[in-house]
Amino acid sequence: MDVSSSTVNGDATGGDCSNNGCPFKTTGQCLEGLVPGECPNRTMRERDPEENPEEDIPSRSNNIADLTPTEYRSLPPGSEITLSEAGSASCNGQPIVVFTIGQVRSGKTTLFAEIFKHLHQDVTEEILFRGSVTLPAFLDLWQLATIESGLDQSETGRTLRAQDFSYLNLNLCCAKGDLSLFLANASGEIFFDALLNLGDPTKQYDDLTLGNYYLIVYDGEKLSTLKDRYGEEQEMIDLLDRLRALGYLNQAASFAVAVLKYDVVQEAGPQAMNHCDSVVARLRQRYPILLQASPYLKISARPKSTTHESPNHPLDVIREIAASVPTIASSFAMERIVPNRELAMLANYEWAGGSR
Amino acid sequence: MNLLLLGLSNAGKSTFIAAINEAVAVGNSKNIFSRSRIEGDITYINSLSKDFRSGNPVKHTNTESRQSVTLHLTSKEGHEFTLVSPDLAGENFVNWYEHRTCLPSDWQTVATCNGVLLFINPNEILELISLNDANATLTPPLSEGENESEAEPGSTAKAQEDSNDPNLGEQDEAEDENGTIGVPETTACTLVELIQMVSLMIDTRPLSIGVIVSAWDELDDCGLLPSAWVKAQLPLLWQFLKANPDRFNHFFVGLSSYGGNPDEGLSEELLKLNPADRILVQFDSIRTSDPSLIIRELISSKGDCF
Repeated sequence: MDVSSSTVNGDATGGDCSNNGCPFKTTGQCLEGLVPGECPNRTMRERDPEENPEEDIPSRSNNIADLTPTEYRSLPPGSEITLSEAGSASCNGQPIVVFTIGQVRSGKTTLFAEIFKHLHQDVTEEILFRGSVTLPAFLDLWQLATIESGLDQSETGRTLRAQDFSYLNLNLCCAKGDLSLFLANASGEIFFDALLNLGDPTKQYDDLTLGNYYLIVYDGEKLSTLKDRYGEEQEMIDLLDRLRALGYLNQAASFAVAVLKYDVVQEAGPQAMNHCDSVVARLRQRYPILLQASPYLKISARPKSTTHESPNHPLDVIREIAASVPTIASSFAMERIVPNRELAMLANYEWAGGSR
Repeated sequence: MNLLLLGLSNAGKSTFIAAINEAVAVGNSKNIFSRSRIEGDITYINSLSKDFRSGNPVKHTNTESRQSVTLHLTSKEGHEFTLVSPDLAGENFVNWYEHRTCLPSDWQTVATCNGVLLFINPNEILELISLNDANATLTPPLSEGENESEAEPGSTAKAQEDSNDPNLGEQDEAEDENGTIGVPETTACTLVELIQMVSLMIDTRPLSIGVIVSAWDELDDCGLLPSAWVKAQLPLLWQFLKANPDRFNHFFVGLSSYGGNPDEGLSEELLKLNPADRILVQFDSIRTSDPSLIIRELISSKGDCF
């Protein structure tokens, strides 16, 4: 869901608010109590320039799209959210901020997309979908991730918002209790930036420090390729060293390691599989405190062969997160991610998973 | 008791009004409810009833229509109920999903409701398909003389074929002028979103929701009861309702208001029946021809809010 920076001008297509801490995007309620047309900070979701407004408006929306902003009530936009907005989104369930750390095109987006697909298509008794404030964003993500070219999200036209990190929300009912997951949908470029100190030197990726769960992901395809496998291994080490040196990793969080695109690894044979195991073993040796007890997942989120079965299912990521909840609970600090928690409570919305 | 009839276009909301009006009018529901009087646009109700009795499909609710039907009912125990059903067109709900806005009057109308009937047309389920698959399933226009094959109930293809049906506006909109799918949506996501939106507007907790699978006559042979059918076909919706017992009381029911497909013309056998006797209501536990049992189930699923 694109969010434009244009000021409200009568395009009634949802939107956002640039006022810090305003829960409008999530709850549809203005921090100042203003109606949309009166709020100078209100931004609108931009209409697709390909659309022909003269043809589209009457057929699609009849009356709503013709209205001025003062004549409609906004509903939660369903797009990706920031962590400050997450406070309004979740008043129930254990909030967990999840980061996947991996390089560009390592399969992070596909993993999230497939988790959503399985929740959408299957019923797994021990993990039930309870709601989401970002359902349309999940659909966008899934469709982008399924484009046959397999382009990374950064190449498929999705631009990161100004906050660099945007989050997908999944509220789940698990055996150990209710969870509100906030999955960071961060481009691999961010980690590349952090690694090589590129881009704006003043830029901080403070969101990373708020993670409750870090999933370190390797690209199994690269680990199976002679020319790429050492680079993939070393760059991950360099990246983690860099993130730790910059203080971006929450040491109290839980960690897991995953090799994605594992079907390619299996196809390459036992040697490639052993190599993956060795890479992960060496990583654990290097970071014994963080990773010694961390789960190791081998996932083919979208295998090239429909008959392929990898050792782990994409939903195993959720299972591992749920299993780590007691550990996370001790380190969790809601205050850190929700500066406007009181406001969220005042808003009194239970949008997707909360209760009054 | 105010009921919100929620669902996408062509899901059977208006037909339900006609069916329940018929059932209480002719006394099929005398063991449950009797009708005291009707309020609202009598012309509109009469129009629905006329089509319903003759076995013709009831007319599609106009997008700008804000019809509200009020039935005053008396239960067999003597309790009086007022059943107010705002009959909002499915396009209004699609607008909520696509534009993330709604008219203040619609919000206000919904806010007065304390029960929801969610209608699902099993022939128009949009599943989660990739852009590539979606483009591949778009059927080119049939050449002259070519027979249109019938899709099975519940198939995605059917939902994306009926581009000439004016009642399926939101399906058409998913295709842009190049014939590719534009607005990502699936039936399950849209319905979950609609429930999430409605739960913002309605204070009642837990909110009673009856999930009605329309055209049940077509699914009668599928071997599944309504709850199992929803679990199999719309697992996201099923999970969402099951996982939120603090927010929703819910039940599933299959409904065939005509007993057959009025678009194809009812069979002679059905036309011979009293219109109220054509109605098929399939709960997980019982089968009946009385649609007012759906209302009773909604009431019994949460007593103190009514």
